[in-house]
Amino acid sequence: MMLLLYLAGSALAIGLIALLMHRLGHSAEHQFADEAAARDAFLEEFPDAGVSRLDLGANGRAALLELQDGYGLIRAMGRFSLARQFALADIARLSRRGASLQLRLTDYADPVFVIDFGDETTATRWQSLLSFDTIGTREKTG
Amino acid sequence: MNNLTDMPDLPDIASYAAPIYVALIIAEILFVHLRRVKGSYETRDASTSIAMGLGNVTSGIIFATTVYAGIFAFFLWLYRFAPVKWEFGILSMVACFVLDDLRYYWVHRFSHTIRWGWADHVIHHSSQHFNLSTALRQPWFSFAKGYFVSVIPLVLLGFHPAMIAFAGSINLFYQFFIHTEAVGKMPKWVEAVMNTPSHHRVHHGRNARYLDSNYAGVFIVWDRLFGTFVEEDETHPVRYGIVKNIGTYNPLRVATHEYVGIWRDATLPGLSLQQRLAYVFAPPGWSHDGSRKSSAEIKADFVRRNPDEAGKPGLGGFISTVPAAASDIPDLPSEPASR
Repeated sequence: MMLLLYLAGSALAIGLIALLMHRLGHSAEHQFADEAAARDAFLEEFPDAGVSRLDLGANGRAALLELQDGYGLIRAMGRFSLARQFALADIARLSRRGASLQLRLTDYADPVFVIDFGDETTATRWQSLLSFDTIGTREKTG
Repeated sequence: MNNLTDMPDLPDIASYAAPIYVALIIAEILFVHLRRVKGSYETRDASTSIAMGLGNVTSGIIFATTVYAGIFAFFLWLYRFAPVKWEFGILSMVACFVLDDLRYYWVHRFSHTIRWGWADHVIHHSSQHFNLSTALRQPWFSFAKGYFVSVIPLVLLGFHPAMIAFAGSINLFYQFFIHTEAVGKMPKWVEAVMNTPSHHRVHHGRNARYLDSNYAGVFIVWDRLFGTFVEEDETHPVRYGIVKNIGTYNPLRVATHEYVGIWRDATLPGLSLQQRLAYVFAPPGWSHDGSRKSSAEIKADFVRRNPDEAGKPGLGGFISTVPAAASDIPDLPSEPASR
């Protein structure tokens, strides 16, 4: 009983602190000003990566990159950003809705990546690029 | 009084500390928001950190009468064999505290340099922020890593297990206050002897120069003594987090991600037993095919790219062998690694 009360009280405290931060505007996510900013942020993490192409999402919070060797992604992680290099084999599931693409990755610590390109042409291009099945078993939807 | 010796029942600081922690976190949020102090907060990050702290305390309560009681009973049994038993007093408490802090230094160092320990400790380092809430981002199953055996020498030196637990709780209480960007550098004598917010910022850094440094709990002298001290260099602002930052706020994933990583690596097909064991016990970043980099390799790599940095604090042991291709490469790891 005491444990339940303790948990309820703590959950309430966390909720109130979260609400306070949210109301003060501390929930805002990082935004890349433009493609160059997203590219610079990615190269900061992977200076050796040769970037062939970068497409920034419409909201400026995520980008997909075609690298000379594989692929890359960068996205907002709260106030900061998070970058990853990946191969087709690292995609567990790829789905698309309109201009939005969702990648479910095999990376347990970074499982989902969503990007809305704002135009269907770019989404189609990336879908076909990432759907190129090299492992045979990957589920493809959309 | 304790029935084995004349040890008084010592207070459990953790149970009194929670309201202080919450009040100070709220105060820091407000001061940061009003730009009165340096720092940054993000709603989901801080919520996750506090939730991890809640999980840590809850796990402690759940296992109090089983695992932790068993460990404590073992120490009490062991205590019988201590040739000298120190009675509780100011001097014995101070001695116990200092020796326990030395123990903490080594346990903490092994938590960074052995992947099995890192799987537990990485949780505390998994935020890209550094504020008071980060202090609460703690693991849930620390007993599993088995580092409690490090307490055995203290028990055999004659310190009652309750006294050691009390010293440990003061140590952790102290460490809460050094998780902040709000405090700059403190007076020189304090910075020389004590672990301070400045020293601990360095410890949480993912810049190559700051990796694997400043393991101290309370007294930074251990780092100075054992060669792991790195001063905060304001020309190289600390970038917080881990080499390969995590992309989730899910507390369960935060708590278990490195264990999952170890499992996946150690069960890869075609490895030798030695390689499987190395994925568990070698330094984080070790890989059988050299596809990842350990801290030492990241530092060496950084110096190779930035020869002018060779010999500087945190990079002292590495010598550049290849001329730099560019001079504006940031002070960050250059390759994906497991940490």
